[in-house]
Amino acid sequence: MSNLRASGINSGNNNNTNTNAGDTTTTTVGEASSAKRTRRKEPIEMILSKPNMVIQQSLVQLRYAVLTAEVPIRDSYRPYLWSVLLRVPPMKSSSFAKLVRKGPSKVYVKIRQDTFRTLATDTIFKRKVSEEALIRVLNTYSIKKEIEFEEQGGQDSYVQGMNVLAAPFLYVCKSETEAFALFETLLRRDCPLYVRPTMEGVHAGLMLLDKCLEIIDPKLYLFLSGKLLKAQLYGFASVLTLSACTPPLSEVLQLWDFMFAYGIHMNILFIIAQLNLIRNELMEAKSPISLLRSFPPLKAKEIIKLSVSFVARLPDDLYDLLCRHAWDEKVYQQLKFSGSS
Amino acid sequence: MYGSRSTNVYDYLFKLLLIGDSGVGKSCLLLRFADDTYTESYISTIGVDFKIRTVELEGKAAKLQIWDTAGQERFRTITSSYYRGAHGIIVVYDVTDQDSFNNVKHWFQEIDRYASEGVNKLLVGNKNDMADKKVVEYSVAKEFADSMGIPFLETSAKDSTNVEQAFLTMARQIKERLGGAAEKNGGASGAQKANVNLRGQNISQSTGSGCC
Repeated sequence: MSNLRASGINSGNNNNTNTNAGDTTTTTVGEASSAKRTRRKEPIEMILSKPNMVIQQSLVQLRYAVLTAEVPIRDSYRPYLWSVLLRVPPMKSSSFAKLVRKGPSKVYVKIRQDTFRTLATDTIFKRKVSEEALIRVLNTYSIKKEIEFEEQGGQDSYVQGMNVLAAPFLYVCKSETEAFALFETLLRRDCPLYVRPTMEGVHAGLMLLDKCLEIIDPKLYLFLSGKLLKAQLYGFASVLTLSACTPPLSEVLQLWDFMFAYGIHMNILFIIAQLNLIRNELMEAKSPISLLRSFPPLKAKEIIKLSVSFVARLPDDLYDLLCRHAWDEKVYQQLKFSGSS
Repeated sequence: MYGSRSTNVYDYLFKLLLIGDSGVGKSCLLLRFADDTYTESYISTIGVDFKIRTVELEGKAAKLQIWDTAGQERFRTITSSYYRGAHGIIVVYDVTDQDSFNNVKHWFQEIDRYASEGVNKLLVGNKNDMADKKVVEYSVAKEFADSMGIPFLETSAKDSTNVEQAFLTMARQIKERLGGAAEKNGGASGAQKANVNLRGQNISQSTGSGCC
């Protein structure tokens, strides 16, 4: 077994396979090949620009290239990387425009309350992504949900925090349509339980955060739980926003590269890694709760390295729950009834 | 004054909760009171946030543990658990946003539903520095607050008007209501202190009676 337990890390994705995979890879590869030819291509770019006949095998290669990447992934090919890893086929701008034309959704006012407060102190983000674009993507998502609700029932299509989840897509993607397609797929397929009215997925994620911390770092777990500092208290925003609530965005993007390759469940381990990085300060702090209000600026490389090392330490059944918690309702039920935390 | 903010010895421990519509400035009030800063935040509050500040009340040190909640009703499953342990709840609206004032009634219903009986309440109209945009008149809000028998203040987290007063009004009220009982339970000295700290942080498990 490799020290990465690669098959284990993959299971988050494998359990949730999208049938559209075929079209996606080939189409996006075509676009990527027109990228700059002046410098030598990095391994990820090479894979992206080759015609890949066997989808699963190529995805495995690409994931591995993300794991072993020595240079940071460039903005120029990141949108292609994300659409391939998330297996999202290109969306027609006209279908996006059609939804935009439907006008304000029922939650438009709520969306507007948050859009101007999204990564508000990040000037590079603000320069690149307009508030209008963020409003359009979030409102269009809600419009789409409202159409579904009319057919299948349901209510309330916006939750605070979705704005933070949409922001990196708008920053990375080359068009609003593309950002919308990736964002919508992530929420619908990979973490639907994070954005449901009762947010079971987030609660399950928090319970699992406690359980994993207990195994990975029992001493820190005992210290924190001795002060009744449970994940629910400090981890809520980090779970819901897949760590995008903590600046800087450039590091968030690297965490997301990794998550899209190996599954968004890795975020729970990212949070434990963030705790680990302030471990000494926490254990010595008079008031550790104050340190947990918000995490220090992200260091993606260190966080990923630590998180990968955690994977091997988790028992299979716990890891399985972790992989499923954001989209499988049974996980929350199971955790609740097992009387955890 | 700054010294009193960082002290670890206290006679009382009070838990306060800030509620109100999204965007009325709850987090700004908290930061102004706890850190005396007014800075734009990276993102709006998700779930709950908290700050601690110790103040002096008639010669006694009162540690205020203040919980700041996300305004969106979607978060009530989480925030409602914070109502139960609170000694005082501050309902905030934005004086430039009529809807946020109209919803105040709704927030008081939430208190009735989730908080312990007898919890102290305070109504606060924030953003009072924006005189040209003000749409909720003082007299209207005051009349409403009087009808409910609760104190009312207009504040500005931006220029810090009345922020200190708002939190201190709340703290004094709680002290009056709980009187000696609070001091006895919350009194922190030596070995007992760790215990108090411990219980203080577990707001969701504490009961409404007594101090913590």
